[in-house]
Amino acid sequence: MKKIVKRAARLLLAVLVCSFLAACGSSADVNHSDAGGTEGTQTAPGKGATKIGVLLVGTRDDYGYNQALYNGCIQSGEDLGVEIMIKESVPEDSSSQAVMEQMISAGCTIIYATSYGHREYAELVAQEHPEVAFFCSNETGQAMDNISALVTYGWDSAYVNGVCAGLMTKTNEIGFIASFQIPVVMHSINAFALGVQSVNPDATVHVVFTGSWDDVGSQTDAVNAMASQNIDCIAQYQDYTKTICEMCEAAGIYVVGYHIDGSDIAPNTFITGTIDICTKQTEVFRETIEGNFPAGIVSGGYPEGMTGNAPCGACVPDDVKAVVEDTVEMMKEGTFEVFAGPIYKQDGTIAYEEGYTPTTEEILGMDFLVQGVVGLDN
Amino acid sequence: MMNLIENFLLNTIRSGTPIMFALIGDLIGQRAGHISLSVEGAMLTGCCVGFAACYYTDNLLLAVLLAALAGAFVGFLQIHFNISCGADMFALALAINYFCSAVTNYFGASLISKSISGFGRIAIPLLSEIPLIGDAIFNQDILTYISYLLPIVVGFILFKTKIGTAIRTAGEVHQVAVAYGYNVRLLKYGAVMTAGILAAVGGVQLSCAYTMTWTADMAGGRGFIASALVILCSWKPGRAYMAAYLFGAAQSLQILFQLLAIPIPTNIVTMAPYVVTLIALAFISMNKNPSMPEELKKIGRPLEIQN
Repeated sequence: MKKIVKRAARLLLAVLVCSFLAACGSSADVNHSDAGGTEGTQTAPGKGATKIGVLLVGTRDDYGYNQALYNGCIQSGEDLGVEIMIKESVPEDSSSQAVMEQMISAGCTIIYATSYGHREYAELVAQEHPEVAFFCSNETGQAMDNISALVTYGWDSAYVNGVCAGLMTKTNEIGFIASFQIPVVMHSINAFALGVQSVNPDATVHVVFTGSWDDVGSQTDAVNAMASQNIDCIAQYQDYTKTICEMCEAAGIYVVGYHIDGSDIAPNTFITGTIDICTKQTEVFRETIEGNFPAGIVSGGYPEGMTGNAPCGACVPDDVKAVVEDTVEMMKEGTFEVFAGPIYKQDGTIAYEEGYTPTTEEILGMDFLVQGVVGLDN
Repeated sequence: MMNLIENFLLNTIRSGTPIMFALIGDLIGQRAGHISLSVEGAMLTGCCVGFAACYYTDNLLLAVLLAALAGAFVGFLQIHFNISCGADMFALALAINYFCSAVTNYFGASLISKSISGFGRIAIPLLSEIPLIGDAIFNQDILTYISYLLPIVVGFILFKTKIGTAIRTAGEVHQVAVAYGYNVRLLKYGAVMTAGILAAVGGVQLSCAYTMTWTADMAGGRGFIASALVILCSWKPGRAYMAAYLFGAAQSLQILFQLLAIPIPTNIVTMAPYVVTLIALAFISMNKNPSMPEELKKIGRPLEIQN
């Protein structure tokens, strides 16, 4: 009898734990019925959509990538008058497939799977649902009629950040806390450094790679170490930006944000930062709803309206603000090329000759750091 | 230069402290014959609970107590399912870690955007005035000061007290402990729950003193590292200073090397503690008279090939 009670108790515990885990993992009901949708019709994917499903890999208030997307999508929903269904913390595995299926059965005909790892699962779901329009964040993958990639080129806004930082620094020592030595990060650091040099040739950019997108311990160590090296302005390429912003605020170091406006957490030291703005995204959603789904890749920087900068913080004087705003205007016109030659590598060898402007593909494969940057490119 | 050394020491101690807590905790558990890889989950839970308590009550003592309680619960899961249900301690630990990650992600989601004042740094008069090392070592938060004493206190308990001998006996030949009238089950429960408690307190240091931040999965493998470093210490608490700060130093140097443009690839520097641990593991395993507790040798016993 005792044994039975014990077994029953264990079973109950197991069931409780399982149901709890399930509740943590997913709050939407699993529903495999194929109701809804416009099966069989040959209309453009996502035409007439009234619900947009958005998958985030993290949480909405992470002061980073996910928060930027969350805010952007909510804004798009308001602008377009459509319902936005957001699911946070969707892992980059087959469970994302289930989430997309759930969203489709709930009536979503546009799906925005925002994390890189979501793409391969989006492709699987897209095959089953040709009437649904899918948006991803990376262009690498199978080309399909109902998948489009929204790709932001970050070097324009990074250059603007650099201009602001170059004018704000008093010690001429600027820090950059980066994640990995991969092209997308390298060209952002380089664009930032070129922006700094354009207004302050004496300034040096010191880059530290933490080997993580969000390890707050390494971020803390990096800010401490930079503070001890007379660095008075810190930029970043991290997914999670709150710790760096807060630490800089506490230490009185100017900080450049990433993904979102950090002026509320660093009111006295936030100068500007790259923000992922949603104007283009709203536009793309609108086109899709109207029946003009842009299959393939939608990409660009400032001229295409794919990127932007946070307004200058309260600590930025008016003359600096004016220069920054002029740079933004110049970027919007699209005539200025950040990486127009001559561009020199760290060791002084030439990367792009005078008069040469690298192609987008070349920039996207950048594996060196420019002259004036102190740091290791491998 | 002065600044550099001060900063190196400061970062070494700050990044070494969470490791120190988890390391000493797991060392006690391993001395009792049980490896708790779940210290990773306990640390993560400690980060979350401590941060939540700091945010909602601003009471630091309460933050530590609640985190310790949560850590004890994680330790309880680890030992209970192993001893009383017969689950494999490693498979179990992985399940516990995923469980902790899911639970803290769920309950911690709303805390990510929150700010706390946390543990301030307290300068010890006179000592903190010592040039070069004073500010880094003696101007720290209270949890770091506790971590300085931890190896000594735990070493004393393990080797100089009756209860310590009992714990060690439980981890060597538990039949002897039984013969002496000790409740081995209770000893193991106590030791492994202490591992959870200390790891969780290390988590509080990580979230409420070192980084003042809560983010998902912020323990980032520090618990696993601590568990591995126990081997590097050869199960001797005194060596925890070396092991924990070796890891802290590697973390710290990785950043300083980059700032000073010393051309040693970052991955090589961060690899250093693991390489040292691997080498130490090989040496300790080959040692004829190793200090490894006997009960641990029964776990993951190397394959004996006869040919």
